[in-house]
Amino acid sequence: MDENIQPTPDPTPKKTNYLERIRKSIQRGPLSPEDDRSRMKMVMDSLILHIHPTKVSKPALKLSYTFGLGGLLLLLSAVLAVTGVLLIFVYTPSPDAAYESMIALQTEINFGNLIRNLHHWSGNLMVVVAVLHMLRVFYTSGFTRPREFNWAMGIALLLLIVVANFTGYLLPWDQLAYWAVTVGTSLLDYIPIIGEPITRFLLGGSEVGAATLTNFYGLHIALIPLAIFGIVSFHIWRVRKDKITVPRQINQEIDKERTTTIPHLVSVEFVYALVWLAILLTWSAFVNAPLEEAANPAISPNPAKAAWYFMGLQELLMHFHPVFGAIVIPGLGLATLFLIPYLDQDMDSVGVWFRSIKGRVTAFASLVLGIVGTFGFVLLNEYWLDLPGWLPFLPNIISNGWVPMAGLLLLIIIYYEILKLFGASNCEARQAVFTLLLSSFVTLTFIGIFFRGEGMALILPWS
Amino acid sequence: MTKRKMSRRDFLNLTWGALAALTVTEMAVVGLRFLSPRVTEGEFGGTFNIGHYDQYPPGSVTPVEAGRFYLTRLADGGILAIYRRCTHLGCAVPYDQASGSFV
Repeated sequence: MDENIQPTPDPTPKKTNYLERIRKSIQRGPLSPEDDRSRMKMVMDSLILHIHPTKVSKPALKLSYTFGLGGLLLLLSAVLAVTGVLLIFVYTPSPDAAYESMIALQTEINFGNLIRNLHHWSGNLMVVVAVLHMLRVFYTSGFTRPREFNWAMGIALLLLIVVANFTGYLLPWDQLAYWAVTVGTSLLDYIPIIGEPITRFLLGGSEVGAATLTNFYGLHIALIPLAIFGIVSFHIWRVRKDKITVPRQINQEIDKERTTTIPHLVSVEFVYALVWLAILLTWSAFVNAPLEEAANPAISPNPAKAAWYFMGLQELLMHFHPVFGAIVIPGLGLATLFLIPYLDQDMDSVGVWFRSIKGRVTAFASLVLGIVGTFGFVLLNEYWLDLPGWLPFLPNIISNGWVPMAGLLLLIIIYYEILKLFGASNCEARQAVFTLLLSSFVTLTFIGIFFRGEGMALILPWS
Repeated sequence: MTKRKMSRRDFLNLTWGALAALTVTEMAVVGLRFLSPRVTEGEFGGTFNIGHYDQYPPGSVTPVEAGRFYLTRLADGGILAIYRRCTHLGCAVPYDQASGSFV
């Protein structure tokens, strides 16, 4: 009886395993938890894993829902941080030495090209992925109450990513960098009253020079990454608090099935990250980031183009008075982007792609219309439309600004009303207008990048 | 509250709040002034000593690289410093000495 109550002392007292003790002081629980309860505890107790809840919605795990775009953005940030820190060690931010650092990366430094390529391509990919992430959230209504502010933070992050990209664009100090930044900052100059002082402040003078390089370097390696880190933390925390939206079919109840984060989410993320790393490494091993001749402020290339993500704006500027092309239209677009969740009327469609069948049809029609219409307008404006010529008695800001702007707004309103006439709900009609404007902007960007040649004349990219 | 009198707590809260706002403003102004652009002599935007005007015959156009401008001596002897930057999007406007024109 006694023996049953009192445990028999271990005949061989346990020796202190120092390795195990050290390991346990860092990672307290078991390394590979065996049951669901300890798996959930591991997520709870871990600093890193704690960005996830202990259990996640099973349908939301589907790759065809999120495409892992948010996670991919995190991976790209990590790649950019690591390669960026490495690059800091070999780069000198002065006009005399910057370009030499680029040459050194190509010729002397071990894997210099690979690290620069990784940084360059990850940075550019990040802009694309951020936009896709935004579209995924938009078209599955992931921005509706209570997630409105997280959408706004996402837009802020998208802007910061573009600015990070743009400030990095100057650092190689080659012709491409110098003139893209000159053209890009000149767009800012068109903002009435505050445009000039802001540009002067950013450039550290009246034009791109040594002060600009140090300014952009500081922004690129310290201020912007810090800002992104701060907002991303808030962004992810909000996703964690509000939970991810759950995909579902039209008119279907939400599938409430949940499953443990370990291993169902973590292993998918791990594999996804590895596959993307492999893609990035392979691409960067074979495709070099562009590097032209050293910057020469005396000779601008023809055509002088801004960075690719600004080509939509530059193209817009070719069709509108600068105040409209560079300020009013982009400003309105940006304001709308921030306000989208607050303009929404909470149609019950969270997790449904494109809201409804009608939503799908109108979104697709708008996409096609945006592409065809934009090409049509650009051609029309090139070969026939000449408002300033037809209205010579009006100042350019009216004939080339107010008039086409009013025409554009009228067309959008007519389109919206036509959609409503065909029985689209407010939400569906707004989604369609958003799609139309977005596909127009993307088309403008493509035209700017591929269809503009010497003197910014229209060309065919294959000729 | 019809009482006009401000309570001691409200007063202190307001004072400390105002002081905090003042501190933040000071820091922001100091930071912005610290980062504001400088102009030094011999750099773009500063003063240039490029010799006597006799060196520039009437009707000539001389690029001054460091100053980003063309020193133009007009036919009547007047002097113009023309900024090289195009007003559209900031490209450089080249001068063709052979044809004697900006292209």
